[in-house]
Amino acid sequence: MNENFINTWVSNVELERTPNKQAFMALRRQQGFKPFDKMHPLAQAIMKGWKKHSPSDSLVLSSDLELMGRELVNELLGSNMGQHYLTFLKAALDGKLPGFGEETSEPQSTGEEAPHNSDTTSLERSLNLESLNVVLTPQKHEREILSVLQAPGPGHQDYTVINIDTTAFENGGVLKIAITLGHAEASGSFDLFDSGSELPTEGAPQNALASSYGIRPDGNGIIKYGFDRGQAFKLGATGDWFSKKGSVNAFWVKISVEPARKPEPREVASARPGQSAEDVMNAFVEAFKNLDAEAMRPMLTGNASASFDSDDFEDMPEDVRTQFSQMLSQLKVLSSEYVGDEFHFRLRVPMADPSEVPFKMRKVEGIWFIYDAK
Amino acid sequence: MKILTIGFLILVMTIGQLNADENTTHNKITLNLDDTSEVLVEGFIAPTKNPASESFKDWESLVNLKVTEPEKRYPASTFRAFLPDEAVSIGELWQIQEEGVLTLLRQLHPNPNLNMHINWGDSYGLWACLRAYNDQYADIVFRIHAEFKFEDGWFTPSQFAGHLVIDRIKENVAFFQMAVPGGVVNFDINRRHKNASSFGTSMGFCSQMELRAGTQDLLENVEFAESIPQEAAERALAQRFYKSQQIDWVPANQVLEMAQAQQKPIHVISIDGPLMDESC
Repeated sequence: MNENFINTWVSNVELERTPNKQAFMALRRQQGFKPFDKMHPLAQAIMKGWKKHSPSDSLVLSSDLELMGRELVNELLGSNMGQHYLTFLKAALDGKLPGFGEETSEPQSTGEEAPHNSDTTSLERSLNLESLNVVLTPQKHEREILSVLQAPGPGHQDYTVINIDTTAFENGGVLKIAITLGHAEASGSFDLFDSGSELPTEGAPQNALASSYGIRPDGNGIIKYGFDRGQAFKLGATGDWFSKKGSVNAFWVKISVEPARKPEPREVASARPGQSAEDVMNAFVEAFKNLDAEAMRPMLTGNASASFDSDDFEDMPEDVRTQFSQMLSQLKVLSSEYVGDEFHFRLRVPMADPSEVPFKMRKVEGIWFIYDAK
Repeated sequence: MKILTIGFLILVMTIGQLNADENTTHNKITLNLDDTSEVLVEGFIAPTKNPASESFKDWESLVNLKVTEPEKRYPASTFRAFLPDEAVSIGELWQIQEEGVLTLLRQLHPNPNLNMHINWGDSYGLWACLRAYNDQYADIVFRIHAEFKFEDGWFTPSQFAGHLVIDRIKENVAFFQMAVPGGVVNFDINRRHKNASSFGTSMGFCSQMELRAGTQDLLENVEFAESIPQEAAERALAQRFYKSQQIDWVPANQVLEMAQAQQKPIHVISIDGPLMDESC
C-alpha cells in the first residue's frame, strides 16, 4: 500500500455526507472545529466519486484527481474481502476502471443512525474475518454481543460465528441466547453448534443443536440448550434464505448460562437417594400438577430443564395459573417401564399437542433424574 | 479504526510493505513509585449534548452522563498499574494492568468495561510507552480502550490517551492525565430501547472526559535527556491495536501535493468514523 499509493481517509461527517451530518457539523463548527475543506480539490473529487446511497466508499484517484476506481466498502464480502480488495486495487492501477458505470455523487438521503441499518454495521460485517469469542463462567455468566449478519441467498449459509465457552460449568446448565434483530432489511436465522462441528455453507444445518429461524427485522428469538457438563459451542448467525442475497442486519445477543442447580443437601440426604424411579415420577407429576417449578427443577438434568421450560410457570398471571392448574389436575401417567438402566414414562398432558408426552429418567450418582422431556 | 484493520492486514501482507523495526540501542531504566504517597485526581466530564443523531438527544443516560467523583485521592500504588515490570528503554511498549485502570475509570463512571462489547479482534488493549526521561522525570505515554456500560446501552470513547510523569527521585506521580482526545467525533453510542426489541447506534463529541493530577506545565518545561516525539509514541501505541496503522495514512490536506510530487495514485477511504479509534 505504501509503495503503490498515497493513502488517506476522510470523514463522511466532515464532508457532511448526510443531512444529519450537516446538522452535526454546523454545531461542531460553532464549537471551533475546523473540518477538511469541502471545497478542497481532493474533497470535491472524493464527493464526485461517491456512489449514490453507499455509506462508505474506497476510491482510487490519479495524482490529477481523475477517478480510477471505486469499491463500495459495504459490498465487500466476508471471507474473500482481502483478495477482493486487492483485485480492486490492481484493476484500478491497470486502468480497468473498476466500479464505474454506477450512479455517483449523491449523498445518502437517510441518516446513519437508523437503528442498526446503519452504515457502520454493514461495514463491520463486510470486513469481519474473525470470530467473536465469549467465555462464560459462574462468576461472569452473561455476555452481550452486538454484531452483524448477512443474507447468503437461498440454500446457502454464511455464518457470523460467535464462539461460546461454557467449560467452567462443570455440572452443566442451560445456555440461553436471547436474540434481537436490528431494523435493517435481512431477516435472521441462528444456529447453535457444538464447537467441533463443521458449519455448513449450504443446505439446512442438520448438525445444529438448537436453532431459531426466520426472525424478522425488529424481531426477537431465543435459543435454549441444556448441557450436562461444560462444553464449547459455536453460534452461527446468518440472514435467512428469503432475504435478498447480500442484505445485512445487525443483531444483539444476550448469552447466558443458568447453572444446573445442585440438589440441596437436605433434599439429597432425606429424600432423593432412597427414592425409587416411581417415587420421583410421582413427585414430578404432583409438582407438574401444582405448577411448582421449584420442586420440579431438582428432578431435571440441565438438558431436560432447557426443553421442559418450567420457568414459564413462575411468570404466569395468577388467574391463568389457576386455570392451568385446574386443567392439569387431569394429568395422568399413561405408562411407565424400566428400559435397561433407565426408567421411561408417558404422561397425558391436557392442552399439550401431542397430548402424550414421553419422559426418560436415568440415575446420576445414585439419584434418579429426568434427562429427556419432549 | 477497528473495522478495517483485519482487511488491511491482509492487504499489507499481500502487497508486502512492512515498516522495518528500528534497531537503535537505548539505556534501560527502572520505574518505581513510593506506595506511601497519595495522588489527588480530578475528574471531568463535559455535558454531552450533541450526538450526531436527533434520536439520541433525549437519551437520559447520555444527557445525564457526569463524573462520578470530581475529586478522589488514590494511593500511589494505584498507578503502579501503568509501570513496566522490568527496566525499559525509550520507545519500548508494555501492557498496563487492568485493575488499576478500572479503579481510576470508576471515578468517571461506575461501570467501566475493558472488554469492549463490539470487538473485531483489535479493540481490546491497554498499552504504555516510555516516551522520555532524564535523571528526575520519566514520561510514560499510554493508550487505553474502555467503555462505560449504561443501564440501556453503552458509551464507547474513541480511546483514553495520556501521560503519567514519574518523579524518579521522589518516586511519586508528578503529573497524570488520562483523557478522551478531540476530533470531529470522539465517542460511539449504542442504545437499547425500553422494550429491548431494538437498538440504535450513533456517535458524537464530548469536549472533555478526563482524569488529571497536577499540571501539564511540568511536561512542557522539562528537558529530557532521551526522548522520542509524542507522535512517534502515539503511532507505536496505535499499531499495537490496529494493524491497518502499518499503512502510512497521509492527512487529507497534504495528499494532493504528495501525490503530484511522487506521481502516485491516491487511495482514499471515505468513511463515517475515524480509521484509528473506537468512536466508529
